[in-house]
Amino acid sequence: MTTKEKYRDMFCSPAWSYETLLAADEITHRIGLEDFKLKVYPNQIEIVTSEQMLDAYSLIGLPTSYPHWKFGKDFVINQGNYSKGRMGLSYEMVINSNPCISYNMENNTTAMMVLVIAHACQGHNAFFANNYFFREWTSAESIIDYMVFARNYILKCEEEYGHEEVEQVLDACHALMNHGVDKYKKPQKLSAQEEMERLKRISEARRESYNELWKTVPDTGNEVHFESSLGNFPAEPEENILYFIEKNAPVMPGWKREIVRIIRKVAQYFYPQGMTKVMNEGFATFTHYHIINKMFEEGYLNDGFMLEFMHSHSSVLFQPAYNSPYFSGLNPYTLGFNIFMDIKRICEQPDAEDKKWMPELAGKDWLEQVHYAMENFRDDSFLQQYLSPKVIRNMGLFAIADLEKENDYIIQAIHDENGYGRIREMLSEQYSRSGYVPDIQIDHVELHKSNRMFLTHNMTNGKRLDREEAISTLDAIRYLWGFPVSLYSRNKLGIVEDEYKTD
Amino acid sequence: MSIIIDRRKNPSGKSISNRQRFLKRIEGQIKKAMPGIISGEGIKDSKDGGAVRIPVKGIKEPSFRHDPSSGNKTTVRPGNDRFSEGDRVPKPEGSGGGGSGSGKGSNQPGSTEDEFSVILSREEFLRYFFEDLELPNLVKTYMESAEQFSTRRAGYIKDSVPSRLNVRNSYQQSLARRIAIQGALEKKLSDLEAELKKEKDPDRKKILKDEIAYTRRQLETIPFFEDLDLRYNNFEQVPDPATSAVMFCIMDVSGSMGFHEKDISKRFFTLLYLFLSKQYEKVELVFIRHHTEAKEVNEEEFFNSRESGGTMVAPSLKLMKNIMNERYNDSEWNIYCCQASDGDVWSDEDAAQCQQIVRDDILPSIQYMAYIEINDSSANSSLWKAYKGLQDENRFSMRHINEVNQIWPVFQGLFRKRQAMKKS
Repeated sequence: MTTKEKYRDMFCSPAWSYETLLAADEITHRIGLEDFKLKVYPNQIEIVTSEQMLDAYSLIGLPTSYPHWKFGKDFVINQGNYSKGRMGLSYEMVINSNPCISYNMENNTTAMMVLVIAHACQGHNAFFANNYFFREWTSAESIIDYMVFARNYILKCEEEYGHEEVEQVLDACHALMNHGVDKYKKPQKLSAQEEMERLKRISEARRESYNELWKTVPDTGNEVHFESSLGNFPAEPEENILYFIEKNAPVMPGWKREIVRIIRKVAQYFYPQGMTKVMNEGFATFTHYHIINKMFEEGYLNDGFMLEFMHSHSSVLFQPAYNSPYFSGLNPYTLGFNIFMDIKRICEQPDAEDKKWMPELAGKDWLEQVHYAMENFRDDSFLQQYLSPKVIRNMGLFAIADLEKENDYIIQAIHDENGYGRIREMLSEQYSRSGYVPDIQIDHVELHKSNRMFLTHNMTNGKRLDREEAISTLDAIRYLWGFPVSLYSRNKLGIVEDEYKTD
Repeated sequence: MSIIIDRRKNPSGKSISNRQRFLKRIEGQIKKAMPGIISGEGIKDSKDGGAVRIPVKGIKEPSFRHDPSSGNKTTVRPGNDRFSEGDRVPKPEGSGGGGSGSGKGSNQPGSTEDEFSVILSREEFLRYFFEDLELPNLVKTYMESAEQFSTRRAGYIKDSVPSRLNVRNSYQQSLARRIAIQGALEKKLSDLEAELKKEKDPDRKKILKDEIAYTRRQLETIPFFEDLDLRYNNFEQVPDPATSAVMFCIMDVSGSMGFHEKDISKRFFTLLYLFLSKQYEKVELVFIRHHTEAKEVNEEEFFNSRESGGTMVAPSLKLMKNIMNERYNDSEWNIYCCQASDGDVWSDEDAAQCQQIVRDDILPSIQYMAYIEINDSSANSSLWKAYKGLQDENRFSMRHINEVNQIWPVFQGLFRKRQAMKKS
């Protein structure tokens, strides 16, 4: 019996064994690499029971994490839902790490196992390894070790300083997790030598461009005087609140700073995941679809397998309409998969509409274009760039405006010539972070006086903050900062609409 | 190649400690939900029940969020089947508009709900239930009448039986002795030899040489072990305070007790039974039912039998006294009594007799007695009045219960942890 026949027997039998998984991993990896040019981290496939899967849910997939009651609460909720049958457990869960750890449920059938290996160990893995957002903001190699460190550090702090205090710090930090991420890289501090060289270059440039003629220009008298020492602190508004507190809180003990830093790093690690959901799932579904079909072509799978596969695949991609009782939002799998398939279609068989809307794709190599899209975009930019009229028509997308002053919902755009561009824009905005995380920045601190911290909330689209939550979160900042805090909500004209303060 | 790891055999319970932390956080809510649970049916099947489900409101995890009812939002939805641009759809009454649609994939954990249920195992439930409760005056300090002793190590002794020989200590002593003797002898030897060197007189020299030889022989024959080296382990007797307890449960099942009253008293005793069997290993229970006659019964009959009759309380107390004298010696046992009745006795003599028995025979011998009166009227019954004179918070407590939701607070009041009281 050839290897291929042996593998086919394994894949098409209802029960799986280690050999089956090894074989599935080998074949999917080969096809992914050769046929689809996927570069992936090495995989670590873990088989878990349903209870362990519930554990994984509450820890968001990390194999270890610092202890906190919030994970207990998530665990209790998920366990309750699962045991009452309100929620099913997913077939797999995969995390952004190197090696890439994926948890597979023990009671998957063979077909599901092969499917999830293709989906997670090739699709998601390649996404984590190649998408710019993940590469820039997360360090897949070091996250597991870092979590081990975090856990040990926090346990030690609990021993030394008591449960309650550590819990208070953690609670306060959790409240600020969304505002504890960097969205752009801060410039590195230059070393002394680099600073010297920079000054030398500047003075060289000045010398070379010196011209006596400038001295003849009359002095207008309104030169800019740079404010000396008592300038604004911080010099520019800071949006990473946890970072600011960690570096600048006047009377915070070192161990608390370290805890703030830990939470900040964890928030930074998860930052890309919230903003690439559609792409990630879409790409993984696209990958597993192609790999499984290729395996069928090459003779590794039979019709029975394909039937089960197609059933699962179509269930995952099911998108209920807005008025269906099952509707619960846009299914990221559906949206992402449709767009990637559409990219392929436009590359291979563009029609006139495609040439008008996506000229840069029409007629190109689809694999290259899919890779380009996967590597260089995140959800909002991806939708803005690649959502085509055809997908809008197929999914029947339409835009509803909910204006505060109006008593009716107004349909703003539908799938017609007028509406495509606007739907694309509005959908892209829906997935942009600023839609759900309020724009709050630290404006200034009254240093050496009351040490009061002033924050500004820049209202977008007239959205105000939820009052109660804002007050509770402000208390959290107050606790960490150690001094009074104020928050002003300003509309786009700069006028203060809401004010919150602690003393 | 990839690694495949089978985690199924790993010890489970990664989330147990986090779950415990969460339970601690919502302790207050669990405790508040207790009276509700007791009033429900669940408490009745006390033997082995399933887990208990307690509804709780989640703990808020605040963060900066938009107020969903404010601002202008645009949502894109799929499945357009009838709309054109510019159509208007009336908003539903009072709601703040739909959510925005980043939908959930199949590997997203469940949505957070504000209210959900925590499932507590039986153990945990009972633990919260009985957290601050104990049988009062349980540990008697004994000076006079301790009957139980236990043996305990108490150092070393120089003479005892060979089985108690402590080899290590004996060896230490022997080593010390040998070193000391050797040192003394060697010093003596060196002194003698120094003297020998200086000595001129031949007779004296001979004497010295003999002495030196003798000392040398002594050095070589220092005994390894001697009787005075031996050490034996020593034991002493320590009196054991008696912590075994017996609880007398006296329930009035006369005709004057309606269904409601009987229900309350049954619930009370069920609670008591659970409490005792959970907290204390060795508690014996004596069940006495009475109407006109008193009868000792077993647990099954106590809770389930349907006899009824008139009301006379004194026989039950007499029966209790008899049983106490026969089977439960008060120097070995901590005796408790819990009586439930509606207070409606046959006659005033009966009440007076009860008072006399309790005062003279029962209270002196027992640690604690509780009397529960279950009736609707606030007027005190004859039995209540009779007992009133004996009331003393630490030895004899009396309480009224009218409604099912009062059972729990009364129970807590009766059995709350008190400061340790020593009985000299």
